[in-house]
Amino acid sequence: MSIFIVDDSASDRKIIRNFITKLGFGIPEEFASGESVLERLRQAEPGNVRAILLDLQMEGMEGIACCLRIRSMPGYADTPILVVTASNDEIQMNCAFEAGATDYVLKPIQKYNLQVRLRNAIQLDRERASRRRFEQRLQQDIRIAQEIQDRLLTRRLQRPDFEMELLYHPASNLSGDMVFVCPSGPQRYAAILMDVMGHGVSAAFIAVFLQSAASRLMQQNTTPGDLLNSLGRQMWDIASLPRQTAEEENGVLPSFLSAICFDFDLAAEKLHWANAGHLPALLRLPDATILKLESTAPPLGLFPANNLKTQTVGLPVGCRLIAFSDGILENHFASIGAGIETLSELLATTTANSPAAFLAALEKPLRPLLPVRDMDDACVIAIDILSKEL
Amino acid sequence: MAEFNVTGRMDETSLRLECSGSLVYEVSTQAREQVRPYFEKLTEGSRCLFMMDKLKRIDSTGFGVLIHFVRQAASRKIKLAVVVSDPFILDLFRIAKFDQIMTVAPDEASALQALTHERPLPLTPQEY
Repeated sequence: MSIFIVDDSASDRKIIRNFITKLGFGIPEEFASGESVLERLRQAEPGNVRAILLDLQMEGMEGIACCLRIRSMPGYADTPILVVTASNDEIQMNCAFEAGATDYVLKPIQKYNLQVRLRNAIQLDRERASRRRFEQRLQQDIRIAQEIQDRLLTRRLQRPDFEMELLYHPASNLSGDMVFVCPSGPQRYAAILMDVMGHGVSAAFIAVFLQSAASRLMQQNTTPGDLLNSLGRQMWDIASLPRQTAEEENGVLPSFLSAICFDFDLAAEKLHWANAGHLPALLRLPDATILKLESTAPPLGLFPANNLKTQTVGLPVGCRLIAFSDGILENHFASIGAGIETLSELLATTTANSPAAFLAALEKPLRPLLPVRDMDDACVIAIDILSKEL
Repeated sequence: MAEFNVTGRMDETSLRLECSGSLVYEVSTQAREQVRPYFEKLTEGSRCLFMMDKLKRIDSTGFGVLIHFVRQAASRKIKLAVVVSDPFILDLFRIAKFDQIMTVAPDEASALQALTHERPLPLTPQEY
């Protein structure tokens, strides 16, 4: 990696070259004009240019114009550029910084002044590059995590007797909302919607862990109440992991999740459900009556043991159920109750022949309700009970 | 960018924490650190009211901050209540059943009355 000296004065170049060599920065490359250094930079690998010492007052292309051109070239946005000038003119200095200069060195050049400024500029560039690499790795990790979370999310399930569709809007790349729906036996389906406290990586991490636990329990036909009690225990265990220090202990906020879980028993025409601290799901019966499946207990993870009981309602063919997270209602209604009433009305009055068509019909009234970035995650699931016959 | 502010008013027996802004994910650590110095001065038997009338927004992490102090209050035998008048926020407490684990009141007088008469909560925080 080389340092480039750009100065139309051969004697000044010689002085700088001697200093740079003596200071241990290696043998620099020299250029007598702005045009010649630009030509060289076009051919060079940006990563091989350690820093550029650029004289401000040159014949032909002046230093500030040259600085601007360098900054516009691909790969040189952060290369340290130290402008060298005999003038202390504040306006000229400002122009140089506006053009992208990193720092300046006054002529006549003092060896140790040059050493300090050059070293600092190179160090800053190194730290920037390291931070950029770290951020790129982080972004890549987040993309992979997002893909994993996305794959685990049930977006659609279509069976002759059961159809489900999801509308999902995470507030950031990763979400604490998780939806999982699966067949759990003949004419039987299980579903869970959970909302883990917080957003982003930590909430998504816990949501994925709990989704995995929930899917195992669903396959074993665990009742919704017992399933949520088990998730609550696991959440409590996560939240109660011993911390290394008292400071760490104080720094951790309690973690919890709200969740609503369903067991659709189509053969018996029964819906078994349990709700821990979550917004009510809305069940529309064939006669357009709306039932609210309300929470009966606080969110999970706040107590070592929960005592949720499974509730049961009738589930005739033709029912439609929607469940949603609170992000859908946030900041748009005078109260949560008013938001739920609006959704109840939409559920009762919107005619659509499938969950997908229903959510599409809801898109227009729902669009203004969807969260802007950094607000809460939001999702709605819609489920239709079609027929007992397979 | 969300902002949260708290100012404390202490009389002989009660601390009133006037909360304003948003008690949400982005400011949760800052909110806890703002409340902590006031909270640390409380002694056994004293009362603490989180006055949330001026609070614009609370999310699940904000509830996490409150629960953090509810647990601390329980372990130090401090009586804690939350005063909420905003119907949206009040609904959140009610629907999530947080009113089963902390005293929630619509105004200061009711909160003080509830603390004085020590109405038992459906779920006590003894398990904390």
